[in-house]
Amino acid sequence: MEETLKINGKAVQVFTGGAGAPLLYLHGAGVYWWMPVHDLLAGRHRVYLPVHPGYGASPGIEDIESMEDLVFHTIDVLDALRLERVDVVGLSLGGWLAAELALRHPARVGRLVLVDAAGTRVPGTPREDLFMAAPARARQLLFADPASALARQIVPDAPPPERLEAALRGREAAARLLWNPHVQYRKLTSRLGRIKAPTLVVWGAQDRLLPRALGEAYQRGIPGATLTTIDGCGHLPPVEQPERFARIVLDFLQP
Amino acid sequence: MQFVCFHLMPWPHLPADFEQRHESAWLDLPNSLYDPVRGHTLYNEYLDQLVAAERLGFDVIGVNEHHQNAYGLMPSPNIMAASLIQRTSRIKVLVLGNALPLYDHPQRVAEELAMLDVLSGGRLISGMVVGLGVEAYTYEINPTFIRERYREAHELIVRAWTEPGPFHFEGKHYDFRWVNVWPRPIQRPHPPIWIPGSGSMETIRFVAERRYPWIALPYSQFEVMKEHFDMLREYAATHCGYEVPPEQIGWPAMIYVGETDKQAREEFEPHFWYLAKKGLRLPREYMFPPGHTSVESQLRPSHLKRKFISLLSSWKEAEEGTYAIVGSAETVRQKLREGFKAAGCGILQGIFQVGSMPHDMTLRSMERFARDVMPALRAEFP
Repeated sequence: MEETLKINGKAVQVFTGGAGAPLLYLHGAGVYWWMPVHDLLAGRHRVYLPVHPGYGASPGIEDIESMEDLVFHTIDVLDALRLERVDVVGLSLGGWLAAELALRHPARVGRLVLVDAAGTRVPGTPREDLFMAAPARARQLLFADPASALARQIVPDAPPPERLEAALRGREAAARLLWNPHVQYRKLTSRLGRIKAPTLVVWGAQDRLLPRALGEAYQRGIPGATLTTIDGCGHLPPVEQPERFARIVLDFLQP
Repeated sequence: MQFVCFHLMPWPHLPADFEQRHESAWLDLPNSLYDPVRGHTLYNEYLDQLVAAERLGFDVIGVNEHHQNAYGLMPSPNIMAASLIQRTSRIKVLVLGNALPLYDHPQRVAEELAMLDVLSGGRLISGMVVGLGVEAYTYEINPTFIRERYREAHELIVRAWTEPGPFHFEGKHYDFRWVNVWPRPIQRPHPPIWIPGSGSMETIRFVAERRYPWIALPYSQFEVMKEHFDMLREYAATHCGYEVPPEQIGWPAMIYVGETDKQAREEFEPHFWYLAKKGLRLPREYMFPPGHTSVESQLRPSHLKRKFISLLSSWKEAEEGTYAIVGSAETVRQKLREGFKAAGCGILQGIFQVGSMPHDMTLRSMERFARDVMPALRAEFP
């Protein structure tokens, strides 16, 4: 189901589905719609997928200048959804957002799942640049199997005309927070010890965009966190390995 | 008509197999391909060409700004302008930098340009440019803020030149409590400002509202450029209440004048392809980082129909699209005459040295132009 919230006078597109304990899914910079993986998660949870400002049918990029703004916005979304405390899954950009949310607003986050999350900085670890990548290169960076139909569907050589405008706007929204500093924030790594939420870090074994070392930094920095790697999987486990990913997440979130 | 002799100062020594080995002549092209000793000779030849333009009767000489590339070797155009000012006495000097959004300290730009204006006795024409998309990578400037930074920096600089200092400039991207430029520029109210642009609606609105001369970018079909001139005229007429005069329209053209049409093409063509296939080898993703060009502009039909010079495959195509003006003096005169009328321009920004063109060949073409083309066109388009 799709609904539109009004927050501070601005529309926020939210996908919801399923029944059970609430689960907030924070999307990444490229895939911001309901997918098969959400149906799997919705088998046991009430899943909320709010679309960040600048993506899809959520306007308002002009108010987002930094991650801090997106954190404030997401708190407003939780308030509007009347979610006092919620388990959070965040992918890539959404993973960074989830980590910031957990360390700045510990009372609002139950358990935390960080998936190929941006944000950490490990000196000497390369961070590839998706903005510079032509579609073929982008598929290599994002997918374990760049030649798959799925990879071509998510990253086509040219977006179909009806998706062109949304794709261009989504790229702008992504660059707003990921350009400089590029996909990471120096201070985040040293603040991870403040996260109180039980945390699972999930990483695609073939993530060529954000190497596993960045996930290990999350695991080392967050007290008690564990790291699970998914084989045959690139930067987007919920997209490329939805069944295995959903099982890992649902097991972790068992009451 | 104002005749500009404009220079890009390219690196002409890229290896023959460059295209096979490198995806781009920008940003990540290894700088081991640059040879500073050859570069020394080259800078001096290029400066000599611009100095010669004064003797040959041009009105303006111009330099530009680009970073981390083999296409143009002037990351700091102000340094080149300072050198040219010392070696000329009459001609105006156009600095078609500075790429304002790239700098965190626009006061420094205001200071340097004021220095050039004072040093030259008021011969400076200042460009103010957004910078190419790829240059957002150069200094890690978030491209989604580039337009805002450009407008703010422009406002800060013009105010620094015209308002008594010190004053406090309070912006979103720039907040300077002590704006107080020493020296002030000599030209009143300030040096002329010319704006180059690729035809984005953002830039067209910006120049129309301020009545700045607008110089198109030279690397697409003449027809696309002309559409942009028409858009500027239309926007000024409908939104700003004035008719754009020719002095406000600048046509950038690569020009080569040979003895005959056949000889001119034979001499010119290899250097044209060097520029198109080597110097401007630039992946789309480098050229259009998100936000640099608005979504609105990217979706416009003229943006989609533009064929960038690097995509050309034959000289016939280049000729049909009027990507360069090449031929005998008579042919060049005729083509420019037609172009002036179609574009309705009052500024011709001539680019004579193209790609790998050697020094002597460039000078001979400039001399033929000055002797056999420019005087007749001046008489016709005063």
